[in-house]
Amino acid sequence: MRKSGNVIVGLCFLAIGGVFAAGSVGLKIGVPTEPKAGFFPFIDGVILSGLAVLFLYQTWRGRAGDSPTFGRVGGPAVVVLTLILYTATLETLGYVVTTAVLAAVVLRVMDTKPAILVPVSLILAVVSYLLFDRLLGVTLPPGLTAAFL
Amino acid sequence: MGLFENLANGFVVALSASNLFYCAIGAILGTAIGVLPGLGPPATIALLLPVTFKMEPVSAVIMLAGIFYGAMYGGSTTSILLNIPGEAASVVTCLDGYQMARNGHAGKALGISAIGSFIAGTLGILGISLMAPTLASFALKFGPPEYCCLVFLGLMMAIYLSEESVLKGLMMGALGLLLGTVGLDPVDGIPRFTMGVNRLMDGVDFVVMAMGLFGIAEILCNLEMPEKRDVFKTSLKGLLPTLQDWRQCWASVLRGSFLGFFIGVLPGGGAIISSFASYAVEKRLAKNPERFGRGAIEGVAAPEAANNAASTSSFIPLLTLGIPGNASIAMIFVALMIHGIRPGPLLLQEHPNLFWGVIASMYIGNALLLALNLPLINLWVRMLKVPYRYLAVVVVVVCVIGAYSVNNAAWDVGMMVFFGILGYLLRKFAFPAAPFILAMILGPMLEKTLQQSLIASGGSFMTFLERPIAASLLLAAGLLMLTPLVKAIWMKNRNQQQTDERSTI
Repeated sequence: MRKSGNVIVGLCFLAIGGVFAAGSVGLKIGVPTEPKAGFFPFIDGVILSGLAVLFLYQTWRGRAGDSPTFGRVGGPAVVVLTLILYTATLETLGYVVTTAVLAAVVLRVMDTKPAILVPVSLILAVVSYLLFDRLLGVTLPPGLTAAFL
Repeated sequence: MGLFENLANGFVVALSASNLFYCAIGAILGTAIGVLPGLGPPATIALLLPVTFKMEPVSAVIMLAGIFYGAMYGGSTTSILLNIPGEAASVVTCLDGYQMARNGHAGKALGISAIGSFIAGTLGILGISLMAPTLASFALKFGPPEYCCLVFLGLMMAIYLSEESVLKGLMMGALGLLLGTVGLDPVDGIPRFTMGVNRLMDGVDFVVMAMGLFGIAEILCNLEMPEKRDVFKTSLKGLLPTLQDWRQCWASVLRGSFLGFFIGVLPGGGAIISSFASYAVEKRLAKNPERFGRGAIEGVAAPEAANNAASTSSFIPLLTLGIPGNASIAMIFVALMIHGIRPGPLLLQEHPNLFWGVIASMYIGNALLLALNLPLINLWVRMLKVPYRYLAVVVVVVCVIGAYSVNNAAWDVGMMVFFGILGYLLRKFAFPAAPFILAMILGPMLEKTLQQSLIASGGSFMTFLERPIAASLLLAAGLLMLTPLVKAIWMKNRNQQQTDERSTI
């Protein structure tokens, strides 16, 4: 059980190396006198696969160290999910609305009281929009707030 | 032009109102992020990369460099007062700095660390001024095989000197090189591994990747841990070391400065290793080594001097060879590339104002940091009382704005989130991020020089062994890679010998 995390990581590296090596063959590898587009990634993909096999072997022998212990993963998981939703809705809902929600979630995860997190999130979203979009010339999507800001 | 003329020209550039302003901003920001645990220099530089898009290249580098060496100054404050390193290079300062604070000498510890840092920083800058032009003119003799081997050696050193296992470092390096091939092939113009996504034609954006790997990943890791900061309540009086203190630690400051300088020049070296190395040297040289860990002033002076000297000298491989040696310097490399400036031996000839302007700004920045650190120490301490949650939320917001502003597209925010998750998982599994980012940045250069060397030599790999400089670099890389293997065999033999001896008894 303690090794399972490392095994998954090793297999992921092996798969990445394999996919890149196989993809390089499709790009044409060429020969050393005339290397083609797949030459370098092929060599590198093979090396990564070899290293991944070595890592898996070390894991099997118990030399790759223990798999990590995750602490309170709920917080990072919630923030990651919110960031994915943020990316999906940023251009339709607009910067201010999505950023206020994102900021509120981050603050909530860090045990901030609702009475504080609501005003802080709103102020942060509006002030950063005005600062970056209006003052510094960074174009941010207005979305739903186009009529107000 | 001679050294002094070049430096004088550099001062003209660095002392312009705008550059002076950016130097001060960099130094202040650097100190602030050094003081605040939970946000390191690579993350801050990555966050600020989009801000530099509209700046003059020299101003951008002056500011980013200020953040890097400023963080080294600020990092000691949290180590001494909280027993938590503000950034990784100040870990070792906790050992004696915190004990000094507990013994009622917090002011003295902060004072010696700031003054020691200033002396080391100044010596480091003098070293750059003298060494960089010579190294740059030597590097002009390099052809593709030498460059290929140099990049290879740089990557191997970054991997070897990374904190984690060499195997993990190698895996990260190989992964970085592979991701560096995504996009159009530099020779044939064929799209590689773009999966039909047009946005990947130009490759993975470094700015977006860096913000994810350093900014978002750092926040995600910190979210796991409960927020707890107890600032040690002690007197901050007596910041200036006494004559007795100086007698005790002047040699440590000088030793730390020289050791830090030379470790910093090595690709992959840098501030963290130099601070540990100088602490070990001081402990070994001390008449009473048992004082170390109980509040020895040399245990604060030497590592702080070393990490500052190393942060300064780590600019040498970047400015003269075009090889970034650590993650922060890699971010500055990216900033230069964004402005269409290729760091390397030609930088001194093509952009002397930038080269000497940045060096001169370091002199100014160091003086500024000394002036800022000691009188404003109470302000930095007060800053530590700001809850981390507010810093975290601001970092997340700056990250999303920065990523979006690269191409005005939510795609880049998504990529940043992807790299944030990747960075978080890599940290959890103790895979070092520095070799990954360095490999990704240096990958295209390695591929290009490898192809050029092979084509020019008719496909013979012997070209790397027939040229003395290339062969020496390759030999050094080979020796470096063999070291852990030799060490493992030696340890195994020794353990076996000990077991045999025990069984005989």
